[in-house]
Amino acid sequence: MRALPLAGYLLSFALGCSAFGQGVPPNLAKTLGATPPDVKFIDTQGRAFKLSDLKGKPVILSPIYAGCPSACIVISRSVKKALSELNLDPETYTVLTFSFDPKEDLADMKGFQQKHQLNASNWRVAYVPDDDALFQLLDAIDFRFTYVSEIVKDHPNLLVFLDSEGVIRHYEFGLEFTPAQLQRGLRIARGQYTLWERVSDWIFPVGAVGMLATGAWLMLGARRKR
Amino acid sequence: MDRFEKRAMALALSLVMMFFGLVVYAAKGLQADLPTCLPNARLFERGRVVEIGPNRYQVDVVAYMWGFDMGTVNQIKLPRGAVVDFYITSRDVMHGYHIDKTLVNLMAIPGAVTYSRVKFDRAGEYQIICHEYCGLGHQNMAGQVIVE
Repeated sequence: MRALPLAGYLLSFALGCSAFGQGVPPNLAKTLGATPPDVKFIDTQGRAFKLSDLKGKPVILSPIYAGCPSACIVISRSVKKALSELNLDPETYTVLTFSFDPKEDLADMKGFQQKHQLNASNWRVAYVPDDDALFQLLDAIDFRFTYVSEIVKDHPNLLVFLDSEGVIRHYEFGLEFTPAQLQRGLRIARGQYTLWERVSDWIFPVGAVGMLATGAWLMLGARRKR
Repeated sequence: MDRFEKRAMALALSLVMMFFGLVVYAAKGLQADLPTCLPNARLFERGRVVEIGPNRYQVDVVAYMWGFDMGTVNQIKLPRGAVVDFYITSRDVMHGYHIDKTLVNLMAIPGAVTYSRVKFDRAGEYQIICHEYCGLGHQNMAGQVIVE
C-alpha cells in the first residue's frame, strides 16, 4: 500500500513525458479560445488560400516539417490511419498539414505529400510563404521548435483543433494518434463537451476559493473561541 | 497562543495568499512566459546563436566554472525587437542564469536543459549574472546581451 503514491507519481510522470515528447510544450492557457491570424498558405497544387477560407467546419492543424526524419512521418501516417478507421464524412472537417520550418517551400511539401500519400480530398498539405506570418501563426498556437541542425528540429508532437469559426478549441499530444484522440478533438471542436470537460477548468479556481474560505473560517473560529 | 504569535501567523498567511495570487496573476493575467525545465530535451555541449526566423533567435548557453559559452564567451549581440529562445545547461556544477530587466531567470543544471523566451524591445546592455553560488570564481561569472 505504501508504494501506491510512488507508483501514481511515476505513472503521471511517464504519462506527462509521453504526452509532450521533445521540445517546449505549449501554454494552453494562452491559446485555447484564441483565434489564430488569418495567414496565407500555398498548398501542394500551388493554390493560395487563407485560414478563414476553411471556416464552416472543424480544422485539424498539424504542424510538421517535411525534412523530419522521424516524428512528423509517424504523426502524419497515424492521423491518416486513424481517420480512415473512423470513416467520417470528409465534408465535415479539414486536415491542414503545414510546415513550421521557414526554409521549406512548395517542393518540400509536395515531396512530403507524395511520399506519404496524403491525398484525401479534405487534407491540405501547405506552407506559409511569408516568414513573419508563419511565426505569427506558430505564436498563436504556441508551437516552439528547437533548432538542432539543418536536418533535425525538435518540436512538440501535437494536433490543434479549430472550431468552425477558426477558434482554437483543443490540443491532442502524442506521436501515434489514435481514432479516439481524433474523435475527441473533433467532438470538442464541434462544441460537444462531456460533463468532465465542462467542469475540469473550474477545479483549480473552485479549489483556490475553497482553500481561502477554509483559512478564513479557521481564523474566525479561533478568534471567536478566544 | 500569544496574541503577537497569532498576528505573525495571520501576517504570514496573508503574505502567502498574496504571493499565490500574484503567481496566478502573472501566469494567467499577464500571460508571462514562465521559465521551463525541459526534462526530455536534447543535451548540447557548445553554445551558439542561431537565427531561426525573421528576428527570431535561439541561444544555446553552456555555463561552466566560471563563464557562459554562448558561441562567444560571456557576450552576445542581438538586434532590437529580437524574440529569443534561451536554452541553458551546465558543463560542470549548478549555475544560475539571470538576465537583468527580463524574466529570464534560470538554473543551469548538468544533464538537463532549462528554457525561457524573451523579446528585447529596448536597445541597451542587459547584464547576465550567475545567481547560484558555484565556487571560488562565482563572483566573476557575468556577461552581457547587447541589443542594438
